[in-house]
Amino acid sequence: MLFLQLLADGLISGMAVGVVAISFSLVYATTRVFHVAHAGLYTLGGYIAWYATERGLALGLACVLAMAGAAAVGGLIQQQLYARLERSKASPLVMLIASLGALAILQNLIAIAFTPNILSFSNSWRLETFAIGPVTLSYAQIVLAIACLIAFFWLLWFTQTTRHGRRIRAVASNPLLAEITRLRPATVSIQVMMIASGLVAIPGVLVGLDQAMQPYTGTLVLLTATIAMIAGGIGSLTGAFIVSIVLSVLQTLSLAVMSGRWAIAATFGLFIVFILIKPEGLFRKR
Amino acid sequence: MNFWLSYIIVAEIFSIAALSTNLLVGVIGIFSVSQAAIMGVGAYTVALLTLGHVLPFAAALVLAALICSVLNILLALPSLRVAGDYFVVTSFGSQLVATALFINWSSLTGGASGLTAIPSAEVFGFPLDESSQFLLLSTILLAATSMSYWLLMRSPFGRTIDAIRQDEVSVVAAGKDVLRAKLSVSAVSGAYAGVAGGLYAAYFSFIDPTAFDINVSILILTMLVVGGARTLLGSIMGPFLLWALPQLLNQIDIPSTAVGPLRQLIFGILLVAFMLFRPQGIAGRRLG
Amino acid sequence: MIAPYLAVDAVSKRFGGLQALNDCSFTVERRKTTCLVGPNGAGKTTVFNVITGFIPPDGGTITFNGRPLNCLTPRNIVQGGIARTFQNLRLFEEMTALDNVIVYLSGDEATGPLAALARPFHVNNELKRKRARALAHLETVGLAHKADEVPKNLSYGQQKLLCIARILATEADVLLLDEPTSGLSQGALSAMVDMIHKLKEQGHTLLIVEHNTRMVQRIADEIIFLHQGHCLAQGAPGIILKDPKLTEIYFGGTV
Repeated sequence: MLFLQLLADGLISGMAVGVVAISFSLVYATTRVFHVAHAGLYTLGGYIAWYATERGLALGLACVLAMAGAAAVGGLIQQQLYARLERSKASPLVMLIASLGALAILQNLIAIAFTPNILSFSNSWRLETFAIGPVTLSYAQIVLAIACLIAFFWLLWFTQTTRHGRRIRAVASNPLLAEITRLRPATVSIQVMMIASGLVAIPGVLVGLDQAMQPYTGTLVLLTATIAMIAGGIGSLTGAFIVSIVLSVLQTLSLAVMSGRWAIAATFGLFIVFILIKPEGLFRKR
Repeated sequence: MNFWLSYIIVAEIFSIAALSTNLLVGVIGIFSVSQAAIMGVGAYTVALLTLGHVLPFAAALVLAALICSVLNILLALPSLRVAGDYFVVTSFGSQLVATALFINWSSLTGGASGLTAIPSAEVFGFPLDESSQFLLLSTILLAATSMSYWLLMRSPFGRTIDAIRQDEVSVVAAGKDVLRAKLSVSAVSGAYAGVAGGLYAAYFSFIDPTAFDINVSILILTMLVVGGARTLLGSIMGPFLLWALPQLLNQIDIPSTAVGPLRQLIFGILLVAFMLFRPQGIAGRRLG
Repeated sequence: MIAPYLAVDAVSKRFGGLQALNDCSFTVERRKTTCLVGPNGAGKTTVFNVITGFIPPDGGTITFNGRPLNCLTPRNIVQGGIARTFQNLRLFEEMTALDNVIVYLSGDEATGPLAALARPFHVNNELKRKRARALAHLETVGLAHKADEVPKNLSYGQQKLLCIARILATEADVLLLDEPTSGLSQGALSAMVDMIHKLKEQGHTLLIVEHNTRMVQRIADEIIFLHQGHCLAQGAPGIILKDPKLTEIYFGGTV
């Protein structure tokens, strides 16, 4: 049945958006920077993996390489760009513009190196499908779903339970106090960026595996992710993840009634309605 | 000769767009990547009205300015009432949605192929077919826009909006309606962008969705950053300097798929470099 | 019995785990200078924020001239006649002292871009009038000669006087001063005390957060003692400052 198929597709793509949302949320909560360059790291991860698999590397290793590469670049951006700007007391506007510049650099370097055309992974198994009743899923989709769920629960565990994670949360909730105590927010920020960048590479690779790669699609994904983060309540990882899935499901279901090209308009319209009604988010975490 | 005329005309059109962005980003201090989208609405409005012979150019331009003005207010309204970063999402969203609309609403916008054979600008029934004639129009409109910007900033209202950027809480404590001030500025900014778009449509006689996508918004933002915020000189210098870039790139021998990305890459580098080392641009004041 | 001019009635406010204001009640009499004293963290600045509409209270009411202020925006409250200064000044650093005052001037006639664009000459006159009014306020605080200086070129004492000039510009009757004398050297301190006396003479109602008890004795007609978000006592300076229990709380000793 079409409805169930669309529901399943939306659920899975929603998990991908969810990982983008929670990783973005982690950076935003800790560094207070609206790190739009995150979309570039999503794309970078995908292309690193593609390049590696084209060279014959197994997908699993390519994914790890992608995560490492994205983490490295993310850490670099934090250390060389955001940290410097913060030291010179730059306003949030300046940080945003710098982040936008970094996004443009990332996306367009990729477009120059790999051309702006659509690229596909050549792993033969990625298109093979698997039927569960009326629903057909590709192997790539299944891998994507599993990986994203693991990423979500891992981040939840990491931030709630581990000492390191709680340290990050402490810095996030009171950076000034963290400065005075021995939490070293500057180092924590770099670590956070590396973790978030590594995480966002996962959907970057696996969505690319399932569908295709293009240098500029990250922006749209990030938009949906940030809408989900805000609607889910800034500070709530679970909220962001769940709303990501809800939004994706709605977007995919809307394919039944209107052309997919209007999906973003519908999501954005929902966002506007949402901030008019309940701007503090659905899952407030105060 | 025609090359230089064309260069100056386009630089002037982008100067008007840069002034529009200057009001939001430079004066009030709100992030914006949707300037091209609003400019696009202005362009499509003028194009459709003059193509359909519904209105003469001048009236179409005024209507475009009004529509863009209202549009900017509507877009600003929901997210200005909440905390600042929501506006970033709204700005990205409106730009991306606008591009989607320009591409997909083909019955209105001509879809991805755009609109062609847009009539040339016409003033008092006199068509401006020559570039030299159009130059007069674009220069007059840039002068008018600059004048209005100057008048705005030297008025008491101008001081209020400048103060909003410096310390919004303090302006609230002064008993001023900060929301209304921000919306007013959004309106003026929209009007400027609409004029720029209308001029663009009349000059090029052809518009398509790629003329007003996020890359163009980034171009305009870079023009402002490089030229410098909060000054007239900066808003004009930036476009005149940066419009050279695409022209130069066209001379170099690189594959056609790399031209666009290379251009955007340079803009990205410029944005990062100026934010790190010279946030006031060449002839402006420090951003933020 | 006439209703009190400004009344805070059973106001409470909680921030996360901290109860900043706890059933706080006091009144402020017209044309009098009332000082809010109390140890750090007693909730003094929170009281200011609640009265001026920057923070909504969790419970209780604030009444001014009989009208409740609870649901009003800060803007309405300023226009209604209550203005405040900030502990961290919040001056506009990129503007001259004169422009700082101009922004605070009451009256919104001919503001707005439409007016600026459509009636440039009218706006020009408007600007001249506002400059004159602003200059007058600067003269009142003794800063007329510094009208074209930006805040960083003023001494700390002068910056604080500039804050006073700004709230005078709002033409509010009730002035809430948040620690006007803190951080001031001897000379600047005297200038500020003289300024406060001047404000009293002009008939303003003053509510001042003040730590310096000698200052309080010089300027206060009435004292409100705040502790842990609750008003413990309200009365004449002579009585409150000599109350041994209160000084115990405030100093752990004598005045």
